[in-house]
Order: sequence, then C-alpha cells, then structure tokens
Amino acid sequence: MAIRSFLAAALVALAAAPAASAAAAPCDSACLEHLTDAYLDAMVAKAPARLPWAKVVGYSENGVHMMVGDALWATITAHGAPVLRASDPAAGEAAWLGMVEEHGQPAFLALRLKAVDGRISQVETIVRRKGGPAPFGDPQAWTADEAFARPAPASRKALLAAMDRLAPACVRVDNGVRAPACAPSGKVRARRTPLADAARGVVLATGFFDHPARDLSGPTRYPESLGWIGLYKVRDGRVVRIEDVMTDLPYLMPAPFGG
Amino acid sequence: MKPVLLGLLAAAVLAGPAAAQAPGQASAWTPVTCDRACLIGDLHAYMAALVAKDPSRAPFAPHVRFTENNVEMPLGEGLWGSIGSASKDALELADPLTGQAAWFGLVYEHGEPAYYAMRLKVEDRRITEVETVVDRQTGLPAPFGDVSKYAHDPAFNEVLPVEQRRSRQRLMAVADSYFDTVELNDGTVFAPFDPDCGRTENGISTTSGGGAAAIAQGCEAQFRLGIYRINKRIRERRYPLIDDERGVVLATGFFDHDNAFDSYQLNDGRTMKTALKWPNSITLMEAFKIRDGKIYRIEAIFTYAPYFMHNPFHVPVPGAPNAVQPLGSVR
Repeated sequence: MAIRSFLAAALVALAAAPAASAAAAPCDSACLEHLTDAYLDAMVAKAPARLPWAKVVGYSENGVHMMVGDALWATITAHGAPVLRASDPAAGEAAWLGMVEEHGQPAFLALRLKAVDGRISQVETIVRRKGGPAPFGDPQAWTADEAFARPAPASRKALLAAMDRLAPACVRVDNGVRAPACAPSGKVRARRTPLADAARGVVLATGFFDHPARDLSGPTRYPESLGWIGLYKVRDGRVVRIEDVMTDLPYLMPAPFGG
Repeated sequence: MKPVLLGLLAAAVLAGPAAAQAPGQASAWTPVTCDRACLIGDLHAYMAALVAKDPSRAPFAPHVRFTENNVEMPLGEGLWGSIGSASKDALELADPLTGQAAWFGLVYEHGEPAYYAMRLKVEDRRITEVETVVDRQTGLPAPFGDVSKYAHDPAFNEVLPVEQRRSRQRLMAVADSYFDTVELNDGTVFAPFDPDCGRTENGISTTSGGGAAAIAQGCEAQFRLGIYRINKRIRERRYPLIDDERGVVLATGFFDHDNAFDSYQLNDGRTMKTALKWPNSITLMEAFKIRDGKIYRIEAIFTYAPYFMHNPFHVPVPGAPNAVQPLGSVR
C-alpha cells in the first residue's frame, strides 16, 4: 500500500514536472512584449482563447472592470504598429501604446499588461475615442517624441524616484496633442507606477486628473476626471517627455486597480 | 460562570428577532413616517441646499450615500461645487411606503444648463441616500432638448381612478417589460403600450417630431420596427419608487451599446447606421406613467457613462442572466 502510494505520488510529480518548469520559466522583456503583440492580434481576431491567461484575470477599459471579450474586443477591426513600448521583467509588466481602429474609426490605445509566469493576469486599458472635451489628435499620424528612442538606462529605483522631478524643458503629449505644460492639469489622484523599464529609462504611470469646476480655471464648466495611462521618459534623474492616452470620465471615478 | 451564561442568554435574545425577519428586511413592520408631502418637502430642502452649496440646510442622516453619475463621493462634491441655480419647474415623484422621492429638472453650472434627475431615500425623517444623473453638453450625441421648452407631462401627477390602478408588483413588471422590449430590440414587444404612449428623453420627444420619431412615430411602432437594436443589455435595473395611486414607477439602469456592429436593418428593410462606433453605456433614471396597465408616458434623463460602468446602489446577483455575455456568445 505504502509503495503504491509512493509510486502514485512519483507519477504525479513526473506528470507535473514539465508544466511546473514551464510555468517557472521567467518571462523576460522579449517575452512580455511578445505577449502585448499577441494580445493585440487576438483582439483583432476576436479570439481571446488563444492567449495564455492566468487563473484569475482582471481586465479594465476606461476605468471599468469587465469580462475579456467585451468592449474594445467587440469593436476593434485593426491595430497599428506600437508607437511606444515598455517592459519590466522584474514586475512582470509590459506596455503598448498605439492606434486601434473600431469599424474603421481610429482611436488611441494605451495598454498595460501584467503576466505571472508568462500568463496574463491583468490588462488595464485606456481608449481615447473621438468626441468629448479631452485632447484628440490624429491617431494615425501619432509618433512618439524622439527622446523616447534614445537609450537612457537607469535602475528601477532611480527611475521611480525621478517621477516628481520634471526637467525644465519637459514636454507632455496627450492623445497626440502637445500639452501647454508638463505639470498636470488639475489634482492628481490614484497615481500608480507599476512598470519601470530600466533598459529604456521609461516609467509607466496611471491615474486621474480631477477637475471639480468650482470655478472656471479648469477645462470644463462641469466636474469631470481624466483617466490616463502614460509613459514617462527619464534622463539624468528627471522626466523629460511624457506620452499618454487620456479620456474623459465621470468625476472622481475610482481607480480599477487601486492607487 | 454565571455572568457569562447570562450574557450568552442575553445575546441570544437580542439576536433572535434580527435573525427572524423576512429576507432582506430590517424589521417585520416599517411604519410610514414621511408621507408624500413630507417627501416632496425633503426634495425641496435638498434642492435648496444644493443651490446654496450648503449641505447643512437639508435634513441629512449622519451617514449619507451620495452618487453622481454612478460615482460614490462625499456630499459637497460634484454638482455641489459647480451649481449656480436650478429650475423651478420639476417632475416630483414620491413613494411613502419605501421612503423614496425623485426630482427631474434642470440645473445650471456656471450658466450652462444640464438635465438632472435625482432620487433620495428618507429614513426616520433623515435623508440617507442620494442618487443623481446629470446630463451635460459634452459634445457626444445624446439628446439635449431646448431647455426653454422643457416641460413635464401633468399626467404624472394625476391620481388614477381606482379601476385604472394596478398593484405595485404589476407596475414594476410593466416597467421591466419595457426594458425587455428595448433590450436586443428586434421587433418583439413585451410591453403593453397605450396607443397614445409618448416619451421624452433629456427634454426631447423621441416618439413624435424629428430624430428617432422621424423614422417611426409612437412607442410601440418604433419597437416593432426594431429601431433600438443597438441595446445589447439593459443592465442593473432597479425600481426604487412606485406610486400605485398615480401609476408611476421610477427605474434606473444602464443601456449597454457594445456596438459590435455599426449598421443594422430595420424590420421594413431600411438600413440604420450607429451614431457611435465604439462601446458606450448610458445611465438613466426613467419615470413611467402606467394607466390601466399600459405605458402612457415615459420621461427619461440619461447621460453617457463608460461602457459597463456599475451603479454603487445596485446589488449584483451572481449568475444573473443580465450579467455578461462574453465575445462569441449568441447575440
């Protein structure tokens, strides 16, 4: 009986071994960035089942949690090449910023993806479509500032520490439109920095700008929040460029993944 | 040992009645402490406090749940910071049995009008819940009527003859059948419509005149034609206020437009194009006037919300049929 149990246990261990070693394989930058490409392709093919999902998955679009397969998954008809990428193997995070089309109508997409052991556990997206007061440039003409192409390696710690230090010549671009200043408009709420790309010198941040409209100093005559996902290029310990995708949301909308 | 035993007995006696109530009810007897006039007085007090930007002027409970466009926030935030004035004319609804009241009208923020629907709940003469929908002009293609012509149908205030009244359950079922008809609108009509049924949305008649009414006039005719097919789900439906004397139901919910398709055919063969190509939801408060068991008037105030946004006052039911149909499921 004891021998039988031992054999059974050994067989289970042997059967589990390949899966366990595959699951434990680290997902490096190339692996993470491949996952973002595969994710975009799966959306256009409307085939979420082809992706490697974790057991529990969190998915949000414009601040709302929903099921994979809903929202942009239902409307997307094409995607462009990534305008910007970033990845952080230490955190298992990757980002993809670029253009998508919904029934032929272009929109800006910022995507943050988290993978554990190569399996997607979180997808957070901001999609900025035409309409409403937030800036809206030309998604098809969107190119990243050349500053992002210059390598500026730094430690994750140094990158995250630089997030509140804006270089005097810092430039921010919202949905392809240059902002009047790099400093945020309105109160910043629920800011998170889940990704720091040490090789590129880039940090991904998410959060909200709140405009209470108690007076006319903000962009609208009514209270609203702007939800965003942005990539921050850091050089010499300062933020030099910000590219983000932001969209109009109900005032004080809660953050989908905390913060 | 003795005091412990006594303590346990006392706890058991205290716990007994609470555990013995009907499911979901705090007490087996809920006296009406605030009648219709009292509830409408609370509506007026709320609006006066709002316009004065001073919550202390209304009878709030120590803890109040307040939402604006489905975001829960402290009283004093949102419209409380931007309002300048409110219309004098309003649609006012009340349900003394549940302590619920509602106000549909206009508010002005820095001079700009917005359509505004508000529901409040009163318990022990104190306001404990405030739920609001504010429809501003944001540039998105929601109806936004000429505010100078905004009027409420007096039928909502008319007390029905006894023979034209229906039970609370039936009134709620009729309102729900309206949403069943809107959902996946393919020409199937589940709702009983009065032949003269009319509907206004954000101050515009959408059953007579232009807009959707230019395609077909009247509530039932539009649904028979399948105009509203883009409504994938009517989600998180709630009926917090029912006035059986007047035949009035207040409903809240979301219309989900996933826009998986961007054109569709009406039942007469005509092709319609969707106004927006991307997923969106509209969040609404909708008042129904039901006479003799048939829908006679509908007044709705709604605004765009991020697709699939939730209402903090909604209690999810696991596995409910309206939860989610993921990609690839039967449409």
